[in-house]
Amino acid sequence: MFKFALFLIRVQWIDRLATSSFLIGITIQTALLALALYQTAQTPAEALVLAARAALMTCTAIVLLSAMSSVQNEFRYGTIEKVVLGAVPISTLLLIRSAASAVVSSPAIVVPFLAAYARFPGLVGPRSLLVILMAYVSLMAVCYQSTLVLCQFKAPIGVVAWLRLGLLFIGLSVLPFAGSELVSLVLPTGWILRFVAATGPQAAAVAFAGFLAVTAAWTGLLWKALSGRMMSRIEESLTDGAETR
Amino acid sequence: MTALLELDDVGYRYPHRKNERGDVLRGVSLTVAAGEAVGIVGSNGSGKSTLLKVLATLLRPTRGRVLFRGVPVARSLRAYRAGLNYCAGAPQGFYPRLTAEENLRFSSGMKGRMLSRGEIAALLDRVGLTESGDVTYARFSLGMRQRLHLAAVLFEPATVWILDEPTNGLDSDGMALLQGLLGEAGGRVARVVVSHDADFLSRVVDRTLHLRDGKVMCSSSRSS
Repeated sequence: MFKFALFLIRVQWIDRLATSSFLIGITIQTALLALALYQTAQTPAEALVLAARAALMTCTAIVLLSAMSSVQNEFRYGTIEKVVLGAVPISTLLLIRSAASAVVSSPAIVVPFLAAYARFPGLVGPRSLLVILMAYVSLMAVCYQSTLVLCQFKAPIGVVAWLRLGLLFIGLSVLPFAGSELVSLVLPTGWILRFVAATGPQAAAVAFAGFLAVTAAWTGLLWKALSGRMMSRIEESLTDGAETR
Repeated sequence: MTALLELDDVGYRYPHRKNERGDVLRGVSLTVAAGEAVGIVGSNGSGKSTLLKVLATLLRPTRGRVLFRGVPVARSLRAYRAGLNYCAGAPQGFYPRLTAEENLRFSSGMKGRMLSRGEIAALLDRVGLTESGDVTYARFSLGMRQRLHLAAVLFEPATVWILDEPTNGLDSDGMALLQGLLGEAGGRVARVVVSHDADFLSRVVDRTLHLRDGKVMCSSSRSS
């Protein structure tokens, strides 16, 4: 299973490289955000917040693209049969693919933190490494959850933009308003930012626990609510134009 | 002969069509013995592909039941699927950006054990794609795609092969290859084959079922 998981990371990488937005757009965005962080961050705490925000902002686009591909490609390429008949349960495959998707986002996750480390070398340590790990977990969860959501739509591409807007405006408060920080706590990314900004160990522990709880709650809730409908969508796709595919 | 697979009064209705036209299969009963080869013919829209999908457990029948070794497949799903190789046929069914080798690695991994490069090379060799392992599926001709599907059908363990239009795109060499593979599997693997090519079917199956409007109209054995 481990070898297969590694292989799926490679497949995810091949899939992402095929989209110009990943190769060019993500590279430019990552470079610009890292440069801006390096030039503007005044304190180590500010640098860490900016690095986390930059990584999450860029990578939500990557994992949403991956989630959309997971849905559309299986139907379009007629490979859904292999997925359904496979010995690997769909929930497990979805989990491995989501993890693979987070892994292929690595350059965009790591580069902003490297910029922060270059500006303030004292930031290197367990705390910032934990933030990076939380970013990975959060992106994996976003990919898993959005795959379930996107499965429900015949044209998921139209929904991707809305999901991204929600993640950016609610989860990362890119346009702050009164109470936006509180609202952001409904999503795991809000808790990551709270963890980064926490000043004491107790506040950090609460933020970390909040992150785990919200991530698990959303994943469980969406699986319970949408997995049945996902199987119906798969059945529909198997009966659509069976003779004309 | 003991039935390996059994369809008992199976019906299937499209989930998103509520009217009469939604009924694709209407009371199909069929038994397939271990190692037996059964062909299915019928005009477009007669329900052949749907019947194969029900047999492959991709679709759940809305009426009747499917039995594997006398037990409803729902109760022996894992065991049944472990020995089932289903081929929906070219042009689709594989990832276009992956090479032939990568596609077979994925398919075998999904089946439970990802094959080694050596094992995949041997499979590609058997279907005449020795030199094409590192070519992406998108660059394959229809015939090459069909051969790659046949390579996936050869995965082990196998107790049942379900093949939907496996002759599509195959040239005469490809047809001979397919005929050879179906013959070699005889007695060991049960094979259910849908094809528009009645002549080909008559050479590779033990009996043929004629499907019309979702019903089995008649059955003819090779000898008859």
